[in-house]
Amino acid sequence: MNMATQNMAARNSVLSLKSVYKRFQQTVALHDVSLDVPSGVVFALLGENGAGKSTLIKILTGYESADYGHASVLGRDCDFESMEIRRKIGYVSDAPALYEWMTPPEIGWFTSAFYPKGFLTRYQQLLAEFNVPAETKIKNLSKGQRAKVALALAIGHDPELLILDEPTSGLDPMVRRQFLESMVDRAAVGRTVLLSSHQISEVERVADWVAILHHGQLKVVAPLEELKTEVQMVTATVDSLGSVVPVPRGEVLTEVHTGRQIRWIVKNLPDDWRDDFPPSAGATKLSAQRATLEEIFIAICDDRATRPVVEDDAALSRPLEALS
Amino acid sequence: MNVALRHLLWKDTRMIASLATAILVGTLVFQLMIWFTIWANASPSNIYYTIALWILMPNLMALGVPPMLVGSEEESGTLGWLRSLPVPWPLVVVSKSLVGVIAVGVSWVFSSLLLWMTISVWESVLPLTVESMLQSDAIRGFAFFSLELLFTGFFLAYLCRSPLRGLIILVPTIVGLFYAMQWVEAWWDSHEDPHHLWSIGRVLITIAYTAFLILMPLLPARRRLARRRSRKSAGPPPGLAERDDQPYAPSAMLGEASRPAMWRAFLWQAWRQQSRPLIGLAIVAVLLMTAFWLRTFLFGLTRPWVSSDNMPLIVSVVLVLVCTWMGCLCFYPDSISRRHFFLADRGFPKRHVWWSRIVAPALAMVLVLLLVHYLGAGFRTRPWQTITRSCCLLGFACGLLSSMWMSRSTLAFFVAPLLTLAILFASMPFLDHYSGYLSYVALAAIPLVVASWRMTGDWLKDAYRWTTQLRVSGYILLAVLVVPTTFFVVRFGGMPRELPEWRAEMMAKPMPKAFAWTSQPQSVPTIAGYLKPWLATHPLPIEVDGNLVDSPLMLRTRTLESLNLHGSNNTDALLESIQSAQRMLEWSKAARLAVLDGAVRPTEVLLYADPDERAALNTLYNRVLNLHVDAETLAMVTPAIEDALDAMASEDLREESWRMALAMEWRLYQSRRGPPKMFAGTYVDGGNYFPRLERRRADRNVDYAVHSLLSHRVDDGPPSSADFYTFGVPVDIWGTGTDTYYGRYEDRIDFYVGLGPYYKALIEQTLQCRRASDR
Repeated sequence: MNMATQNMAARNSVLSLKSVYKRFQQTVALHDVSLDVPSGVVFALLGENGAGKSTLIKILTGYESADYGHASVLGRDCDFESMEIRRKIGYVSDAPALYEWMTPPEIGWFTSAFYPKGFLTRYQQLLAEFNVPAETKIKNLSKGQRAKVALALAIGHDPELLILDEPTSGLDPMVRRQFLESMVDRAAVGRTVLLSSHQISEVERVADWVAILHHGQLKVVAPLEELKTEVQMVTATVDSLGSVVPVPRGEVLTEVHTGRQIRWIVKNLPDDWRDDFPPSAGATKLSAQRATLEEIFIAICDDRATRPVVEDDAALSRPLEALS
Repeated sequence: MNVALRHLLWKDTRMIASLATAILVGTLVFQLMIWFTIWANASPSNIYYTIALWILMPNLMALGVPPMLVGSEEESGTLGWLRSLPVPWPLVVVSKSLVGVIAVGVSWVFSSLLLWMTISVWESVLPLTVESMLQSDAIRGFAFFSLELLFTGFFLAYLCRSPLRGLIILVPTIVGLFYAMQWVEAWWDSHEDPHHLWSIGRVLITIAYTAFLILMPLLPARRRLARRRSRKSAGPPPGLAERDDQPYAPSAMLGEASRPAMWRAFLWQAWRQQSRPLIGLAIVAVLLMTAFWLRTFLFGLTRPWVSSDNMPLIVSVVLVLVCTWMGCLCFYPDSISRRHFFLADRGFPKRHVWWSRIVAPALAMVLVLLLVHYLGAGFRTRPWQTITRSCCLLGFACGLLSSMWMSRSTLAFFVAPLLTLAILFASMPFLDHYSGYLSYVALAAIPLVVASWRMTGDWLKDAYRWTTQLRVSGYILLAVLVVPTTFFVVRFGGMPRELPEWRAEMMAKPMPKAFAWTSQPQSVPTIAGYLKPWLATHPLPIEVDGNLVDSPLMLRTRTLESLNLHGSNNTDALLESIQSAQRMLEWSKAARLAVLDGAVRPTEVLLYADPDERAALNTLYNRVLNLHVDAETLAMVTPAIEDALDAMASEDLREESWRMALAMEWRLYQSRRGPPKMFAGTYVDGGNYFPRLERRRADRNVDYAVHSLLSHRVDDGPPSSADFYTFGVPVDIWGTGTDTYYGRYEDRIDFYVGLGPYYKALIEQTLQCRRASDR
């Protein structure tokens, strides 16, 4: 992320984390996480299972407090103003536990007590849009319908920030699409959506910004387009197995060998990169194309990936930190 | 009212609706059952059931509300969702507390209304003996106990994540608090309050304690409902610890070499999820029974406060509750969040699933039964121990079924006790007439256990349709019916065979001439009345007024007093005591002669003459054996002792009179009309259920008993195969006395007539020995 983008994000941020640390006994959940999320965007928080995404969300919503560091949402301190934050945001957990004996209208009526006027009207509109049956108890709704009820409850008060923790896991493609569209709609009207997920293909379709958490550390924070422009996948076919070819210039994130083919995920690949592979280098069929978000994610998070270290390039020894 | 609070109240009220409905409907149904019982049999003891119900049901509500409002919300995850809303946590606490107080209050009002109706409707037939429990002080005490139970329950429900753990801890906590408060009350009452300051202090302390009770749950509630705060570090924590870097390495115990068989795997898994609460419940039972046993061991049963307090009842109730919850633990851990799908999805055999879940709780229940058996001396009577064990078994089965039946898993812990109560209440109409009936309630466990076995498939698939509910209801009905059915089948199936030849012989047996008029009870004098002329010439050592003389029982009581009144070291006193014994032996002999003449009722011999003879001989024996009586004194009183022994009826007279009395009483019995029918002063037909059958059964038993006795030598005691229920009070009839030590100690036929001569022989031997040693 370039400096201008970074400054802009910090200036308009709806949520901000500064050097946040969190540990559960011997397990490090978050380690020195600093983050600013600009307003009016769909911000995707990516990470493998146990990366620390849910802990980060719990700190933001005030369910947990950080061991060290500072977190704020909508300019309010998460430690001391959690009630105010909850009033302003909407939150859908990965497995929303709703009162199963209530019907959707009942749970909406119940929840309306805790939000300003207008909640119930919007909630009922949303349920109508989502086509949720009104007279069926929640325990008898399908998983997708329950998720829709949970989403409607979270956005009924038109929150400035909507936090979704793995919202589409286990949902069918139709419901998933509805979910994703509603997020884009919210961003379009200037609201912010923080989306935690490992459904990368979905994120790629809707996210404006992406952050990748790995082992409690923030590895990447960047606008999605910027990230995809900067990172490319270079493919080379070698003449024979075991041939040694030079590593492309730029920040090589991973190197994968598949038979006679080698693939590199490279950030900041120079335009003249083909010059490094003369015919004598033993590499043929050279190509470079934009990496997908999934390829970038795996390149960053796969602990078993090969990451060549180029001695004369200090940047390459710390490719992940360089991205952020 | 605050909108948020209003909505929370609505939500919380709906959350306990099923529990409240179950308890209120249960209260009504149980009360209707009591009314039916009173209608069928207006026994004064039935008022106690009404009182017990009046107290029990609101407290069951107080016990159930906290786990339903806090524990089950935590378990289902909705408390977490509630935390994500902008709801201040004190508001959540206030709402739950208010709903709890209102629910308990409504339960009290409803229960009191039914009590008032019972008293109003049945006042004329039920002598009200429980006024003390209906005084304002007592009512305030009951209400306060409910409040204590409710808020202690809330405190523990917020403190413990699992509703079950909260419940288990609540039982000993509330019992401890109850006794602590009683102790404080007793201490307070035992100290004088000269300046009337203590009464003010008492009020202040009560107010402070109430406020403490109400505010106490706030502390754990804050921890449960508010954000979890961790202490902020002064600086950034040290670098990344090793995380996810440890290679996967299972312990050797879980390796391929120790791959478990299917049974072992099931048992291991069941034990892992049941062990903690089971151990908790077992500890409660062990501690309770140990304390109960220690109390009896240290203080004995003779102390008034030990022999008359309600501790055995409390212990029984707690043990039954413990066993009920042990039963609930069979399927509860699998029912939480429908974890049983794990078993269903993999197609595990139903048999394995069912048995593996039963084993550990059943063993824990067996432990409780053993505790009752070996440490149950404090229950005072053996039947009470048997009844406690039966109820424990029934409770376990009710818990077992409820843990499968209830879709809201926590609800099982309250429905199970209600189901147990319902089956026990169904026994109520029979209790007055059949003292052994309650031991049979364990039989109701069988249909319930079968029901749970048959439901396993539906439970695994979570496929509860109305047909399932109907089947369960059918099994419960079967459980209710199986108890009286089995009881009466056993009762009537165990009737002795008819003895027509023997009966004909007995009917033809010649009776004394005067017997004809003994069959008209009103015209027959009591033995005391009959002996009045004799008493005039043989005055008793103490003054006896006319009324006492008319009552042989009082006559004997006063004579016994006289026997024991005098010291044994003083020669004159000793002589008076021996003379009193002689009088008793004389009038016993006279009574025997009168019976042979047919001049008095035969019961006079069976009920009074025999025991009096034994009491007199016993006194003489004790005097003679007393080594404090020196040789000189003994020599002086020996003639008196010998005179007394000579006054005793001869062996022939004793046996003849006893046989004649028995035959006469049998003949009189044949002419009596029931129900109820009496034999030798004791009711012998159990009650007014199936009166014709009861009468036939009683007739056969009396025939059998009299036939057995007359065929035996009298010295042998009762026949071994005696029917306990023949004479209403089990065992009493045979005069063993072991089970009635603290029970009803009534006059009964003393069939141990051989003990009289035994004592006589002993006295004569002892006298000879002492004479020989003196020489």
